[in-house]
Amino acid sequence: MYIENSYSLLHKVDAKAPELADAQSVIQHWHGKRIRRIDRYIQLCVAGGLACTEKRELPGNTGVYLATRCGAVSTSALVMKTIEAENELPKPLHFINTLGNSAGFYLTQLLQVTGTALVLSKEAHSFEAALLHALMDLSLGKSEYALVGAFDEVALPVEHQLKRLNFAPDAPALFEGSHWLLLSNQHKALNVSLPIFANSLVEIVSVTQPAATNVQLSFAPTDAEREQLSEYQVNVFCQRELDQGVAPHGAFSAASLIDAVSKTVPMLHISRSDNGYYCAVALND
Amino acid sequence: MPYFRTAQRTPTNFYQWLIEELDQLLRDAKLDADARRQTALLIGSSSFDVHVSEQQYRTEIANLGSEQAVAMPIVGYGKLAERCGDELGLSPHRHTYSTACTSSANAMIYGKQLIEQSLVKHVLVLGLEPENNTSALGFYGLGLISPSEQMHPFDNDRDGLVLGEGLGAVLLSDKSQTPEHEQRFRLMGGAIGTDNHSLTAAHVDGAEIARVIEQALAQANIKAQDIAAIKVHGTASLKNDEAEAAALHRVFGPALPTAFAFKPYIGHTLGACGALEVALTLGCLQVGKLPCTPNAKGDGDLGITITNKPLPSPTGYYLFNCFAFGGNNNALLVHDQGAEARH
Amino acid sequence: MVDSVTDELKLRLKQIIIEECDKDELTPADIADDAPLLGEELDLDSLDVLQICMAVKKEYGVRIEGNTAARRALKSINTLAQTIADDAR
Repeated sequence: MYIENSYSLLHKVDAKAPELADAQSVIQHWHGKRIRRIDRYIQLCVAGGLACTEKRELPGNTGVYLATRCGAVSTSALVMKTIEAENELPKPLHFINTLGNSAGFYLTQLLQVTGTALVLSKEAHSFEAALLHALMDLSLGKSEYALVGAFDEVALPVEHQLKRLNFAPDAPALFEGSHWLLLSNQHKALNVSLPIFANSLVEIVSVTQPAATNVQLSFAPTDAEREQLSEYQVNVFCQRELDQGVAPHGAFSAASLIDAVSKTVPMLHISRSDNGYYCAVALND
Repeated sequence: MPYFRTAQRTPTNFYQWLIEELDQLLRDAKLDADARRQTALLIGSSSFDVHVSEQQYRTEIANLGSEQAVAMPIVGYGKLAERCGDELGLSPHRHTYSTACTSSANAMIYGKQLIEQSLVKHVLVLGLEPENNTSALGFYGLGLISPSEQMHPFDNDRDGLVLGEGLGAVLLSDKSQTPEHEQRFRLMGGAIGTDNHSLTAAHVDGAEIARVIEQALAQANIKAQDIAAIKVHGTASLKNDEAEAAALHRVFGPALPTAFAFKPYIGHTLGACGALEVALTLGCLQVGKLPCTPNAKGDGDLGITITNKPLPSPTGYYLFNCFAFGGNNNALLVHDQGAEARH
Repeated sequence: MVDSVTDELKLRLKQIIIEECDKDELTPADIADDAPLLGEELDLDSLDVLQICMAVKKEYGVRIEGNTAARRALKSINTLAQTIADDAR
């Protein structure tokens, strides 16, 4: 399947002076007005989805495949605090915003699509999971277009978020963002393969047999991993930040993959999960 | 507040309990280490392990005070599937679906597709919903819990739902991996549609729900009159029952097949209800019966009668309806070729 | 306890509505005391109604339960203020 368009909003939140990504202004740009009652998690979804589709009129059956590793953390924490610490009922609006389909509801309404809508999660490979589902449906002819997006937010305060994500308390910054692909079955410059999951790089390379010599990684590789990829031209996405200990967000592999797409050359993209699985996505022309 | 609790009380170690349950299930299905490596794990839930998160937060509040305590300490919807998958030696295809009440119903559709794409040979679909404060009080705050503490889907006096907890599991296997005597039930597939008319309730004209049912029928290449019986979603809330009834009348006209419901017995198990209600249905079909709801009145202006008499189960195609907040609608189709056909 | 309809009560109710319904673009002056809250210009929906009822309960201890009661109370700022005042008597 082919890549029609892509969009990435990657934002680094300084741990000392946290400033969150301004998703409302992206929404404002594409939609013309602010949307009320949506939290930042939903804003990240809507902003990315609108920016990736750029006011295209998509067919009504276009599938929307959303991915998030951690979901609406800020609002979920707020609801839990209201219940457990304040002994109050959660506000209806807050509870609704924590539900799985709420982000997709706003986005599909704005895009005027009524086809398949999913929310997938798979730890560090959440975006790849959504991509897999989109590609399976496209190959079955369920729709001509599929919009795939991954988004994860930084929930303040920073020290709580670092604790939740199990990162070092002295991490200098945290990433957050929203990263998207619009796929179609119409021929375009770049096509994207079905994601392959395996527990070794050797297996990944032997299964994908990449035609490309370029590999992009969404993680800082060990020496052993570098060795296994020695035949390839390896680029590590945001290497400097990763070396500095910046905490990647749940959708980090998506940010890296969209970055690889933007280079418009054949490439193998590989991400790694905490429990040692790799996921490869091949971009070919 | 009314609630359907499982007889088995909350285990002290939820994760260990879940892994042991799944391990037993895989043993019962005689899946050895090789087969397990070819088995995907798909989990659909509305709240995952949020009850553990709540417990941890309460402990922290007690120890550190509410300013220091981290609310929602456990994040990552996919953690459960990875943990279970690692422990049980399953395929890396572990996918987690978070579409509120359709979560595990949606997982069923992609379980079938993962097998058809030859990515795995088996798929374990879980619908999971442990009791938790977030869902219970969230629904209460929305005014959706039945004041009479009983669910009467499609009746005139319906006044809302009662929540429940549960774990439902369905094992899907490629035909080549299924002994002939276990080939009785076939998942035909299903469809998903989005009704973005309203965030909190389905459109009462039922058009969007009807579209999803018709899509599921078309994809499976069967006609409305081929449906033997319908497992309704039936949340007994005013508008959602109205929408479901309107959709069924649109699709089936005057020849509505027998309809049955589980929620009056087990409550609304939210993200678990898709897989859980399929599993319960298959259990009933195996003993040749359709589930019935003795106190269903069927006096509804909605014109849908939940069967209130014990009926023998017909063979043929079963439709499973499942709808969620945010307008996510799901229709699944299962074929039962009957107990005799396997010989 | 608030047992009579005052301008102060009405102003506070307008602030509650703006806040609970995230109607950022409005100020209390934009909402007339007798303007319909549901449908029409302000266009509040069922979720807004739930938000307002919960906030009113928290601030004034007045329960507005069920769809019919909520729709009756939320006709306008005047009716909402009256509902709160009546409840106290």
